[in-house]
Amino acid sequence: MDVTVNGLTRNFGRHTALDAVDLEFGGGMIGLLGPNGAGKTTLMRLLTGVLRPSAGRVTVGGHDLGDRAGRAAVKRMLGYLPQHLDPYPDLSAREFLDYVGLLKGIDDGRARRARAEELLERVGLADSAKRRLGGFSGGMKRRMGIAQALMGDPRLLVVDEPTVGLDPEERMRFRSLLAGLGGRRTVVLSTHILDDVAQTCSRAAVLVAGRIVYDGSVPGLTAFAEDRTYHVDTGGPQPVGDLSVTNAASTGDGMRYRVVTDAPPAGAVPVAATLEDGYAALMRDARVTPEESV
Amino acid sequence: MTRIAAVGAVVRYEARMAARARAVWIGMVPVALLGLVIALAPLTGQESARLNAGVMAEGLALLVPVGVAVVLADRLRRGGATGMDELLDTAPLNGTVRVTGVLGGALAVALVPVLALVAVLGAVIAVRTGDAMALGWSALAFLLVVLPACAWTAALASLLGLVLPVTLARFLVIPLWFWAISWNYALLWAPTPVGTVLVPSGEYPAQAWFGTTPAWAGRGQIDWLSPAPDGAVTGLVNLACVLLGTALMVGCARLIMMRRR
Repeated sequence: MDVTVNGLTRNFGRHTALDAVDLEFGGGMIGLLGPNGAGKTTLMRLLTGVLRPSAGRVTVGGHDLGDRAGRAAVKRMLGYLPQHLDPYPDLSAREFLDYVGLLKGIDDGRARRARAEELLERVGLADSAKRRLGGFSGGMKRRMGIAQALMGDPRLLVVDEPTVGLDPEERMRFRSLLAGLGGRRTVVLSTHILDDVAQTCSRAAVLVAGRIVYDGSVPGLTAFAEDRTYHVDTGGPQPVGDLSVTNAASTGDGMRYRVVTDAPPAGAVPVAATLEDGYAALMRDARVTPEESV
Repeated sequence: MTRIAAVGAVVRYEARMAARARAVWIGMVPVALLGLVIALAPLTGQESARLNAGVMAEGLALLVPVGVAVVLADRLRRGGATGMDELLDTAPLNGTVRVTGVLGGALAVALVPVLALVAVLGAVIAVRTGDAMALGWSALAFLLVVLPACAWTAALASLLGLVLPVTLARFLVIPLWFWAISWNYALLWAPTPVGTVLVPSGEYPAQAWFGTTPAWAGRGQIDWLSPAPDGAVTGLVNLACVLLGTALMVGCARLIMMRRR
């Protein structure tokens, strides 16, 4: 499923949430990264047709989201998990999936119920199928969220911050579930959690202040910090200078800081870069030259 | 899936959710009991079963719609804060159709105690008039007099619930209802649909099909909007106006829900 975004702009009053974004991607998983307020959720809503653009165009599988027929076609092949989703508390898990299946146009009751059972099994909620959603934990609701997104076997799956609020075990389960989905679908994953992207996506795009500042492979993003990542041991105080601290750990008699910098302080030891370091390096570069796209 | 089947699916699940919401029953059962008191008194049995059914429906239409409005004022708002509206907007089903289904399903459940009440009152009329057709007339009176009024107030309250805090919407809808159906503009002037074909009180249909004597119909402030109640034509015109008003409020609600994103 090819998705093409051309000159996509969205204004909210005087605020420009997305500014002439161009992006193209096909099958597999793409991670959408960026700081708070960068425009990730706005881009997700535009990709799903929930919002209309102020300017620009989105096509999904050749269907233009700018016209009614295009939106209708895309909605038939779309699965979406919004950032905040609190499913109807008065329905059971099974009923909720059946309802979503009906709204997605799955007319065959037997097929709908079979798909709901399969998805409940897949997200580990088969034992809770009859329980009302109002009694579910945050993690269980998130899993219901992904299950409903998969009703109708969508070819494009858009998931916004799916692992927020999950405990580590649930997050791992979620990641393996997501990774298994990317094969024959296009999955767009928006997240703050770099580890989720490192573990599941082959490609990443980074938004800063409504503009794409990186669009490429995940290793390519990590490479931004290559030869710029160091460990700095101090007696306690954070090293000063033109650097970004990506981690800090106590060593017993002092502190070890992990920094990304072009001017390493005295005693800094070069180390292999991670995706987190690459993201920090990119943010440093974006702050220095915010108007340039990488 | 056809549009009708899709609305049916939404109505089914929304009704299920409303049926499980205690607030709906806590609100509607006392309203139905109060409706029993109001509607029972005038049923003397001295006139025909048809007229008694019309009088009974007019009595219920005073109170039941406002109870429905208070109970259902939150139905369209609840999906906004939980992300459900955003999610369901990505489904192929048209948004206005969905909103109609949401209100339709919840309204169906809210009216269950009222339907039971209508059956009881229909039986009372049947006994007092000795006419078994009273049950049928009562059901018809419910459909033509009470139901359109309830749909109108449900749409109004849901619309208010989108633009105001729900508690305020619940309070505000009460004076609005009585302004719309019984404001005495001769005592204190204010623009009101009372006496016109826009009025949702059911007076015109009650006169048209059940032979009741209207209190206000035909005496509105604007002559051309206030034809003398004269049978099926004015009854149908009034029903069409009430349903159109309901549809307009549902459409406005949908627009507000879309613009909020």
